[in-house]
Amino acid sequence: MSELLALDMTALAAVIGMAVATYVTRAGGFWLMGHITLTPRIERFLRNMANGVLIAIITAAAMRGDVAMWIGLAAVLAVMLLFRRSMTAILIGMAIAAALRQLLV
Amino acid sequence: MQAESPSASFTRAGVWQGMKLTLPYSVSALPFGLAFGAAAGALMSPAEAGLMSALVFAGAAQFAVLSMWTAPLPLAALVITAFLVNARHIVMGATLHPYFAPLPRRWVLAIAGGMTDAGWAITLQTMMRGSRDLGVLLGTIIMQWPVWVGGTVIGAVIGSSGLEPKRWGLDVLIAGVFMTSVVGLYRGRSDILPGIAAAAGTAAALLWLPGNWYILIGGLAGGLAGLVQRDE
Repeated sequence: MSELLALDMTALAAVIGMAVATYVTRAGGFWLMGHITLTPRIERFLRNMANGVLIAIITAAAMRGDVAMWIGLAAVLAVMLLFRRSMTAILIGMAIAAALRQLLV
Repeated sequence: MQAESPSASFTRAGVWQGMKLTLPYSVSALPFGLAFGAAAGALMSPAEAGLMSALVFAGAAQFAVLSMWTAPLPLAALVITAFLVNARHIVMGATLHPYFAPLPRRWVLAIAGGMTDAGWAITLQTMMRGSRDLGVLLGTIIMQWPVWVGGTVIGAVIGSSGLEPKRWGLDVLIAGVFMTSVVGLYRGRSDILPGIAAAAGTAAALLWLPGNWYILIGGLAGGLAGLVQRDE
């Protein structure tokens, strides 16, 4: 039980820091619009940066991953492109990777 | 009640409307909450995972930090990653601002703290149909927050019971969340070049830089490539 409730001080600091950073982004758009106008250029930069971060995480997972990760990710992409069901795509990719790791070990 | 009124309002009817419109999304948030909890439970205690979901309340950012959640925790990298992954909210908030501009600023800034992608989309659609009720946004939060936090805690208790993350493919689950987001956010050919730039920047950073610089570099490469390429 104590393990379930364990609260590390560094982890707490990380969570609070993340919460503040997230709040700044959520309130930031409302706040900024009262002061400056968000130009299409800034908007395009922010949008592509956000996409870039998502792609960075996928790229890192693929570069650090094993064959099961590669095939699993390819399956996620294929199912998502075909059916546009994110949870289904993720679960299929995960199941394929888990199955491959059982077989390959 | 005042859905047709042009002046901004904040009513119980608006909250109710937002809640009703969010119901389908809150159902689909449950498996994501469980999945996040299960993945997080292998790395941190259920209390820490639940607290993160309660205070950060941002699925993509929370999944993103899991791959960096190793002792000693890289605090700066975790906070910067949360900011970068959530930077899209700045644009989203800016699009909602005009509808709520007449309302007291502190109401708007308080409720904005719980704006999710789904909550923003529902609110914007409702505003485009003529409503000016900030309650709608609050309603979307009421329908998502308890599901996300509850799902996290349940998933984390399961995940903390000696689950081997890789064996169950939880690393693929985390990467898969982002893969589906990228496909879902794809808007057309103008996204291709920034996407390639982001991947190339990330690969270079992973090969030649230590730590978690790849997230910042990948994000900046994507953002800058978006500026450089000519408008379609």
